[in-house]
Amino acid sequence: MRENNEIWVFSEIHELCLELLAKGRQLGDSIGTEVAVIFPDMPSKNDNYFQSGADIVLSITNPILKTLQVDTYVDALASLANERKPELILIGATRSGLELAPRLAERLKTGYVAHAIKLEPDADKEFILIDKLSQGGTTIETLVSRTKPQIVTVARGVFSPTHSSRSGRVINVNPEIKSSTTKILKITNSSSTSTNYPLMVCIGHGIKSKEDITIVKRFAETIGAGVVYTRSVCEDFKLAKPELCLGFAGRKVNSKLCITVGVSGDSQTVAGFVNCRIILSINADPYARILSFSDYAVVCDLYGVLPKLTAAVNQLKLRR
Amino acid sequence: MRIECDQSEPREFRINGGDRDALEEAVLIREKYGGRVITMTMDGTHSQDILKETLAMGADEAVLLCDDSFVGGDEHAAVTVLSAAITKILDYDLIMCGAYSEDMYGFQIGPRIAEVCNLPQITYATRIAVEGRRVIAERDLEHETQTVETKLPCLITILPKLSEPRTPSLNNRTAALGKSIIVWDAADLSLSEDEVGFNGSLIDVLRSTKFSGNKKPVVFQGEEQEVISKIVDILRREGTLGKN
Repeated sequence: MRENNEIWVFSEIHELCLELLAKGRQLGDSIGTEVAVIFPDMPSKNDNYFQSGADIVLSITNPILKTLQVDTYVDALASLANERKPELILIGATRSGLELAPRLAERLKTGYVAHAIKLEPDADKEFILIDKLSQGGTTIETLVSRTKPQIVTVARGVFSPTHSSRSGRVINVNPEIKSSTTKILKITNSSSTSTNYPLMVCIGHGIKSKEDITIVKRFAETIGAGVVYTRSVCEDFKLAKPELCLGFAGRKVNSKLCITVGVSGDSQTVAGFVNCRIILSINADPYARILSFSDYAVVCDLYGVLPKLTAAVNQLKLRR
Repeated sequence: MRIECDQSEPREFRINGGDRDALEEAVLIREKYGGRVITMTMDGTHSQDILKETLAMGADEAVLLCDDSFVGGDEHAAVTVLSAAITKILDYDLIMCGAYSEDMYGFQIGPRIAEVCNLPQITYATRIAVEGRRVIAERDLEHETQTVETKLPCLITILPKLSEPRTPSLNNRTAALGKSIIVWDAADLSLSEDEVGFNGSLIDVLRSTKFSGNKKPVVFQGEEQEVISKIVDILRREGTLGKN
């Protein structure tokens, strides 16, 4: 039996946690390890974790961990990891996850890869091979850690949750944790919008003004699609909230159909929707890079086509 | 005070947005409270120009960490070098760096340094205030904004656009040309070859393939009405419009 006999999953975002569990389950079955979820926020969710692939819920009730703070969580995870020696730690690539994972890796002196897009066991089922995009998203690198546990962060939408009628066990653990060196004085919630639609529209920098975005959003609403944006729309033009930014470092979507509007197809952006089953791009440039990632490409003037398309869809809905 | 510029774009010779903003913020804090601003990067000697630029932007000193043995390492190996240099400086209060590099988006260097140097970390800062030995910062976690407080010394990572960086004046540029860059190698930092570069890494790159699309899309163009009806067909087939 291998020394490292667990794959761990941690994310403060429940949906992302379930996505990671699905991958953890698949890897666990392949290499013969159990899958454990760390620190569930609510015991009422335990069945949900088991049905999504967990064998074990490692439950901690220490009040210090009530708020997610990097130093206390690193203390807890590191102390548990030293004790239980997991094979692999999958962490959700939220901003909190992305500040926690490198610090944990440095504490455990082990290898960490950020923003994995694919995970599979090596031929001997000894280490997990990790694919990630690099060089501004133009290259896929396949990486492996020299040490264990291997630590990996994965963004929302890279893997899909699964469901089965499994059960599991809860293990109560009590690692030693020092209180945080940082005080949280105030928390203001930003409105968070779900991007978990079967149909997505991605708006790129071919769209230049707030009014033009309204046209695309109206179309998205008509067809029942969620809306995300490229980095330049969010950061350079400041026309959308950063949490709706799709891409390499931002959100990922894995919808059935993704319609890109005015997206040129730089690797940074493509990384965000490359897992969608069908990609339909609407773009004025017949030579845009997006075409090589598209199943269907509409080369047209957006402003001519989109309002008419919206009207056509509306009419179709009325007829039914 | 010192600031840390993680410069990980060896080909483009450009300071990351977050690093540039970190430098500007450090200069503003020095203007208010005194102290010294030191910029630092690990790279080949061609980074001298980048460091000169930081001097022109207001840094007091600039340190280049450069040694053949540093080449070819992962983030862990890089942080081993950066942390050794930070430790050598001793009397720092604040380490500031960009939240991410604009080619890698790893968000890794800051938290790793904080761990090695045993410092509190405030990541994704959008506003910083120093009051005596207290630091109060606003941080952007995407789904929420936090106001947090910790004590110096600490490490802060900065999101781009915290402050509008100054354009160096001609005087500053001229003065910067006269200043020399401090260069430290592995021996200066008492680092052995096993700790840095490829030998000191914890991650191996097995292979590297070009990420490009290979699809040949069905292209719709030409008569508008026809294009629209083709899109509607796809939406009916694949989307939420349902099939008649």
